[in-house]
Amino acid sequence: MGILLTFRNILSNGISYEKDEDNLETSIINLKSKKEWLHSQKIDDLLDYFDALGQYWKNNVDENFGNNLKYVSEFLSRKNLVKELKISLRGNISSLDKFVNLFDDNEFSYHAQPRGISVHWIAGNVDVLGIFSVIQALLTKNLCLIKVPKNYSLFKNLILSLKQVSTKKIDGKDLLNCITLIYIDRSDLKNQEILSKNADIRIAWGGEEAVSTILSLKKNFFTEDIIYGPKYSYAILDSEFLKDNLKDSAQKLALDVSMFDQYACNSPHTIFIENNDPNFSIVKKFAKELSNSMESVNRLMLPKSQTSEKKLMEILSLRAEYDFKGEVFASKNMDWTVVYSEDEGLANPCFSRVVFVRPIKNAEEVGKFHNRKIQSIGLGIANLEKQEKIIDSITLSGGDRCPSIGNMSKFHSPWDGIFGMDRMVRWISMGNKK
Amino acid sequence: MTEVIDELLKMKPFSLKYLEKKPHFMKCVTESIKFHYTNCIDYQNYCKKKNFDPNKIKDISDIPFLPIDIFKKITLLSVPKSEIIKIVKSSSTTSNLPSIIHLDKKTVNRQIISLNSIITDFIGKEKLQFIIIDNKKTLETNNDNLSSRNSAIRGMLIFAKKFNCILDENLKLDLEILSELENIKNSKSCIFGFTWLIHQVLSQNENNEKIKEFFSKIPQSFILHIGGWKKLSNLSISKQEFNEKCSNIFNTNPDKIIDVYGMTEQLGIVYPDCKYGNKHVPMFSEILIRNIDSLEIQPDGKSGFIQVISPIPNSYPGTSLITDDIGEILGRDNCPCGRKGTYFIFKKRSEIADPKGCGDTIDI
Repeated sequence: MGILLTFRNILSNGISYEKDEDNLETSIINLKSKKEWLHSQKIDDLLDYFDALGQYWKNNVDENFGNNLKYVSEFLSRKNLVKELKISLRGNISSLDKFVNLFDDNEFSYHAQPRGISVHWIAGNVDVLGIFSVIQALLTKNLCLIKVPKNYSLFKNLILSLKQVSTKKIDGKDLLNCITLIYIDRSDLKNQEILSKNADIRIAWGGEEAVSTILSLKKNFFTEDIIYGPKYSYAILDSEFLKDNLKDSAQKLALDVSMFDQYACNSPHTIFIENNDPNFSIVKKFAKELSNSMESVNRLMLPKSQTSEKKLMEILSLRAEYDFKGEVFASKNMDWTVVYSEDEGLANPCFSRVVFVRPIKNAEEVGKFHNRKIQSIGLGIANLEKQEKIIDSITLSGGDRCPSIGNMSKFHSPWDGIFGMDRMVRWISMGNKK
Repeated sequence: MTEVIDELLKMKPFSLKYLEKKPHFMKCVTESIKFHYTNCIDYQNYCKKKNFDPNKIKDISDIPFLPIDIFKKITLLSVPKSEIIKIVKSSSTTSNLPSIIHLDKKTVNRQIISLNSIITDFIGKEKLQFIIIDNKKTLETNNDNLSSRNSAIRGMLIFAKKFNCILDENLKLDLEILSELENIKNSKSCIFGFTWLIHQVLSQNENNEKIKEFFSKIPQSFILHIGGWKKLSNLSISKQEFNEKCSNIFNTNPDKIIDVYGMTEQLGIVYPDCKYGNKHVPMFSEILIRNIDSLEIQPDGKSGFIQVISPIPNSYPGTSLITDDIGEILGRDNCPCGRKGTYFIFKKRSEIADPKGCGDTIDI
């Protein structure tokens, strides 16, 4: 007798289940039956719907999910989504509905067809980030099969709330039918493989280990992979910029660090301050100011989540280490830690609101620490020309996005170097000449 | 010149009540802290950053603690390098780095006196036939990864009149060696080893009648096991299950199975279980429990990180250390076993898991 493998069906056909089942294929067949309905929806109507959903979340859910959700609501505005779609779909969003003319090409017209089933592996740390890929998939008319993390209640509630919103053309209940949520234990490779084999798009949000496991699963020859993570982020500021923006920069970076408790790929772990003062006085001053802001953000805006004893001890040990070789500004308890040191290079991430402030003589030197694991580089450079020169130089070997500080958690395309929605469609060309 | 710590070491380890012990202990700890403050500049700077003045200690809780991990990252010395006679490395189970502890003659002597005093209170003064659950090469080698086992076993051999290591090089029970031990059957004996290794041997030999038969002829041995439960945490084996297995195979009363808590960073101080399952704090140390979030001192009966304080380390500033173990003080002076002073237990860690996700890079 073979081993009976079960998965937890959380949401299927618009109904919340919470039931252990043993036949994943049945759920997938059910989901596939919604393909025609989703394809028949007009992009304008979908945009109206998501704009309304953003409003709904902003008005109803914000209190429960704090600032993390604020960015999702902003992302869902019609204006933003049109911009995102235009960038990804070569300037014409109607290409999702029909054949359109692109770039005055009279020879061919073009249509962006959905790829089919998008399978999303959502990371435990940043389930709200996973919402972005789900919205992108639905906008490009792909069905969504979502493997949720163990602690999935927030994600499930967000998805279930789709049925609370209806617009003139779209009933949220119908759209909810296009989404299936399941939980599979990470050791259950058999069911993971069923997911993978049924995917037309595999979207993986996760760390090194999780993503490697997903990539090793068998897939169809034409399946498109979109990998978000594992990535490292940091920020660069120069002393010129800090002259007028010290407090403001500290506040913005405290938000960037505290969002997602620093477990997201876009969370900064190191802050470099370009500075030629041998006493590094402005760098130390900034570290102190940042500590004040970390305290305020924790107290007033984003209280830190519970942390394991192991991580707390790791933080304690790191604080002691830098008490010997640098300077530590930290909360009385274990909520946040700012470490000043004159060490070179990117600090190893500790996570859990531990941020390293380091002086650097020339910001371009950071480039030598770059590889493809670098994602976001938060910027606070006074001179735009200088900023462009630095970024062009350092991103040659890695680094995917360079938002201004305070916006490091704001999702936009490209993300991890990818225009997500471009990768979620198949481009069809049709000859116009008779 | 006799130091106050030497006087303390002459006392019986569990003879004084908590409040009776306090002034003696405070005096020793204060002397120890002042010594490290004066002789280890790095430690002095650390204390200054914590606004700590060793001349103003009112209570042991005032003394800043170092996380035990610090010895994996930084070398701290309170005596000249030339006085170091021994370097001990901890096992590196929770990270890839071992703690490196530099010991001078004074520290080593204190450790021996302290260990002798504590252990004999549990197993008696008579030297025993030791059956070591390990391979003899562990005692010979200088291999870094084995050095913590090496030094722990060597430390215990002061209680042995004879000893035999009964595992082969693959750390499996060596039946040939056992058969050569026929002559020890009538000796008072003590089985000693690391908890995880004993568990491994027990699991491999649950149905091995030969082993059971061999031990059935040895009268009621003590079983001392050290090294903690971290290596067994993913097996979720309880202390009770472990003791039952031990008792069944080694033919001994569960009362005689002693789980000994201690750490390389404060060698010489151990906290054995009494027959009521409580760990006892000897005269030469004290423990505090700190809230895992606020790091404030917890009242008795509340769990938190275990902080260990002992004036024994002389060559390095290891007087006050915070561990990543979770414990709870059960009481003072009133354990039914009769030992005076603080007694405590280990607590299970909470099941909070740190998130893993798209920021989780193994290296950068």
